[in-house]
Amino acid sequence: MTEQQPQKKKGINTFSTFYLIILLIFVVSMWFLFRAIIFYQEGLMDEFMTSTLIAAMGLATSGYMLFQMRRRTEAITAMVQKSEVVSVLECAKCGFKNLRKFLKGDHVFKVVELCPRCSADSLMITAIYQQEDEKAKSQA
Amino acid sequence: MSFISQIAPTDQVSQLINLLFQVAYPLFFIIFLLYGNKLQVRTWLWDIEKSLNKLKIMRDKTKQITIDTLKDTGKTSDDMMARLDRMMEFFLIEPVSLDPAGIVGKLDHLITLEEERFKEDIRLITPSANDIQINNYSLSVEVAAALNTFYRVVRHYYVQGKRTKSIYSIMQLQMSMPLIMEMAESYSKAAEAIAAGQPIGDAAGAMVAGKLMHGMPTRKVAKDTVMAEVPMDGRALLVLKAEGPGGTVGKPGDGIVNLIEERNGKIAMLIMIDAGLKLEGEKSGEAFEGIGAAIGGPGVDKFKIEEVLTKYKIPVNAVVIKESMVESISAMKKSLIDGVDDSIKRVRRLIAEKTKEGDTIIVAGIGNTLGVAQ
Repeated sequence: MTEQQPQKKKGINTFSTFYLIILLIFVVSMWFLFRAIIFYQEGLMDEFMTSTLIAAMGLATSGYMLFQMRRRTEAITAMVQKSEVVSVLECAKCGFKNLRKFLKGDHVFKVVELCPRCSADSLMITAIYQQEDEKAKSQA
Repeated sequence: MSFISQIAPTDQVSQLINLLFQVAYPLFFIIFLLYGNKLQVRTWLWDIEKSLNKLKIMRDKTKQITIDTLKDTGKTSDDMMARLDRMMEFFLIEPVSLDPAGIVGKLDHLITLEEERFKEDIRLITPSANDIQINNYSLSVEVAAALNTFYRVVRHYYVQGKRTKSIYSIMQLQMSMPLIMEMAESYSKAAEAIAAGQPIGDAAGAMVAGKLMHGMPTRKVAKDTVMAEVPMDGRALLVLKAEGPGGTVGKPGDGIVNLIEERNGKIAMLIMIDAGLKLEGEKSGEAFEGIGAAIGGPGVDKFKIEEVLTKYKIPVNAVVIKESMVESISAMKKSLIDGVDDSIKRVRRLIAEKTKEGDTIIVAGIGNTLGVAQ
């Protein structure tokens, strides 16, 4: 009998592996930085330059990788988060307006319930739309 | 200082690093000189493979959404999966264009046949579904089929490029992938909205017509297409849209032709409202005006409308609500609702400025009327 690995676990493992690599590069870079200090104090300028260069490259790489990982995490979160779809209910008689979550079977111009304010007319769905978050709105 | 010297001895490590650099530098040079192109092709193939996997996930997810939606209706046929698979591989062979005379009629016939075949198959899968549900399910399957086509075509060129090791075909595919993925993602997002019966961005035109004709008696003028006669400032508006709230675009071409022919061409003006693709950087929901038949699709309806307009010399105005490809097939956004209200104002202004009392004007709201009644 074969057992399938859940996809969520696989995703977490991939992210953990990347964070581990970032940490490893950071530790190695710091070690080279320490060595660069020693070389400088001993007056070995060639070795000092090489170690400083490697440390700088390592720190830049780990920083860049961390930045990219954060961006990717944010993108995935944005993808998973669904923006809510709402139905706009309006009373033609008194102008009462109410927004509620979209329910299956809702459609524009559907008469749904009696107006809670005037009770003289029924509320009708005048619009159904997806709520836009401010960040996405400013990007559009 | 002494502590640091103890944990990091200097001489041996620095020698090792120097040696590594001396070996690595020429090695890198030789590798990039001899295998640079192959490495580039490998990187491109890796990129395509990642996108291909995403496409597969999107296709499977959309198919699952379609299956769940079909099951929601209640009883489904035993061979649902086999039927659905057949529908996802369904194709239409376009008519021969060597002799283009009469090609629109042939294309119209084939498209109508395809639509009917899709709906018949859906009816066989879910016998208890009503007409609105049939239209919505048919749309859901069409989206799943479109994603399946994306996946199959990309996989074809990927495998072909890998097999022939053709750098140019792989490069072309890799460079086209961002646009292909954008389209595929919009289809994937559309699946959920369609399954739930939510109005999509393409419904903007139909919503304008719906708001103008709401409360008036309607009648069918063509297949899945309704109209209502609306009095406005001493003019008679013949407002036309696809019959909602099921997911259909109707036959606006036939509808407009029938309305014009019924009145022997005595129509002062035709106003068409449709959702149009915006350019990058443009604001969604902005309405623009122009001249011409504002209608997309394979061109059959546009052809019919242009023919009848030319025959009777009827002026045609277009109001287009700008939106992106993704917005046009995903759940409608607030900015598009604002665009609908703006378009109604523009239609009213056009009527007031370009026609006189006693005139008859056709106002056609074009687009998929999913989630929008009349």
